Amino acid sequence: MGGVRRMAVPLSIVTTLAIAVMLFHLKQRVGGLEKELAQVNRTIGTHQETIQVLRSEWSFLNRPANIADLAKKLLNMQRTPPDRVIRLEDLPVRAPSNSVTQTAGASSILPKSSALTVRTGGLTRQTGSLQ
Amino acid sequence: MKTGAPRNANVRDRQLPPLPRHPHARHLLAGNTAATLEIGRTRLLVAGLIFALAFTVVGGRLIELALWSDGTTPRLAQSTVSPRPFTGRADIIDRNGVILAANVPTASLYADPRLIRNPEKAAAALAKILPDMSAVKIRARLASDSAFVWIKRNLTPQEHYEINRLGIPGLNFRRGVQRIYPNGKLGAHIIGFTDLDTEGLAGIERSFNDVLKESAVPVRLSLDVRVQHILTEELAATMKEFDAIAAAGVVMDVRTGETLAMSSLPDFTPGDAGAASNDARFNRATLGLYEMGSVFKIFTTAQALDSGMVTLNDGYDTSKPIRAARFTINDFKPKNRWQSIPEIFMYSSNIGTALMAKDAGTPAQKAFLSKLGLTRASSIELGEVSPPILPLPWRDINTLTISYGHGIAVSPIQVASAVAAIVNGGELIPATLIKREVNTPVVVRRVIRESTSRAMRDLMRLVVRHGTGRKANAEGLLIGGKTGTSDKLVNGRYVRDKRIASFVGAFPMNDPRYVVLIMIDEPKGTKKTYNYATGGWVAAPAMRNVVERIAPILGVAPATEGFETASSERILVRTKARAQQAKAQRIAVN
Repeated sequence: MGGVRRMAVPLSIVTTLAIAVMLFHLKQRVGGLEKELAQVNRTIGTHQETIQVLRSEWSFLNRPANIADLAKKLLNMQRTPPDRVIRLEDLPVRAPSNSVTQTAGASSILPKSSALTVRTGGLTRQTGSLQ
Repeated sequence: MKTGAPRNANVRDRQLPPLPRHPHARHLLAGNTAATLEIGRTRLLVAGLIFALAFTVVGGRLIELALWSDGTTPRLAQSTVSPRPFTGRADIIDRNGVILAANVPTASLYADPRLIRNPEKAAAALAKILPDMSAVKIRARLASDSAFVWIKRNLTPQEHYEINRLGIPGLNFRRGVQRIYPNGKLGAHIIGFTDLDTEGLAGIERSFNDVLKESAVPVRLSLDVRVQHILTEELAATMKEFDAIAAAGVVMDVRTGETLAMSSLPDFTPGDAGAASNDARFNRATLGLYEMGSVFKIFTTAQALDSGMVTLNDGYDTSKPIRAARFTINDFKPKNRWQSIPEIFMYSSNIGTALMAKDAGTPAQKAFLSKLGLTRASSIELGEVSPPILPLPWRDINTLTISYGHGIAVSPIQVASAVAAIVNGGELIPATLIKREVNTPVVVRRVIRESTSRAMRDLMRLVVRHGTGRKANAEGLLIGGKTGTSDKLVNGRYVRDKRIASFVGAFPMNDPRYVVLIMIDEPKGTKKTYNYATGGWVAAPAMRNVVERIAPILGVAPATEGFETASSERILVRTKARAQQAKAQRIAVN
């Protein structure tokens, strides 16, 4: 019993010291991480500012007038005449036996060389080549 | 047990002998010592139990959090990162997210001339990077004795980077923000502009100033820059062709009241609004008030049909001019015979329309125009909105002239809204510049019956197929509408050679989606138009061009043959038959 009591004091001192050292290290690490976090946040801020500038520039370059000019200069395209536009559901069906052949039949009817506007859910997408 | 008891401080002091090991030993002890020992043990036990309980609770909670937490608990990491950079003012974007106005961080270059060792060399280096500044000018600034001179405000990122790379001591940057408008003049009247402290002074910048300042979330307009561009370009081309002084245009979704485009020419650059004239900054689509001319026959005819006063088979004798007070009401191209309602509308007879309004009466006209929102300012989200100019008092003679669009001045946006209500099935939807989210309820007000709306669509389609608006006919797009030509008031008198040519229409007429309004101020006739400068010659072709270009963008597929509504065909056949009859009668009379 006396032995235990003799040991108790140094043991607790050692434990306290060990905890103190560990705590100090932890604090140091947290401090380091906090610095790193601040740095990362600053970087994010800078990047976001850059993105904002780039997005504005993107809008600037995408001015419809600019796009129209570029298209005129670089693309040999014309407006699609209305008679060249047809709805998918208006396409004649070749074999009405089952749905699989219907789709196959429809797609083979598509004129390959002419412009075709496919209406999909309110969006108009142009495919095919224009002379 | 061996060490349990002696640890109690009170007991230890009394130098107790070790406890006996016999199970019944406790009974052998007597007096105070035994009692104190017992109390000590009990306290120890209670304290131990309490602690054990507390740790069990903490442990239990820990396990619960670890195993059953559903991830909704907030995390520290999320709250430390701000979602958007704070630039002091939110962006304005179009319906597809294209930036119309944004705050952008900028750097401004200043110098401390006392620190610059070689001003000649520094000026030369800077002049190379800043193309709009000469070396001499920079050199002059660097010669100053003060500790601070501006070299250039709001550098581009490229300039900033290159000057930084020069590494000249004494050159410094001050950070700031600048409001920029990447699309330039496009939509300038809607977007508006700010002062140097980025406080909104006009347009959305002013009407949404508080919202823009307080939130980082962009304000999403109903505008579509592509449609806006097309409308503006076509208006400008028409203005140029007919040597007009101004123009205005609106494209509106008839189902939601959303304004997809709104142009006013001449226009200005929002980034340099101070340099623009008042005339250029004037928004003709909302602030401008115009006598719209025959476009108003849409409303007079709709009123007459909706009240059941006339049907499409009825008509009026338009052979005699109406004389009332000091006015004489004539037709531009007189038919000199009885005309049915569809003919009166198609060939734009003033006499016929005025007679219709006369039969309906002044109170009914007032009530109907008020229901269409034509007697009060538009609710559109801009500060620059004028209330209409109404006749005061509203006499019977006013009723006659208002029936064909004279004696009442309204803004183009009001007309677009009212026409949208006429063609969309009969419901007035407030005009808006803000994108409506899907499924948000909109306050609508029924103004005419659905059957009247259908009849009006057919009549408007006939105007474009066979009437005054033939030049607006675009293949497959089923445009319908009404032309308008009105003489301008100059010093209280109508002047014949100064007029407003307009066209208001919608497409596709079998199921209208968009209303388009074109208005050209003081067009002059050309050789090509045989010197005519009427709505049919000036505004109708512009309408056609606009619709042909915007329809593919807006996903309106062109209709193939056979898409003309059957009812419109029926009306046409019957109208032609009645016209033949009327012609025969006139010949017989003569």
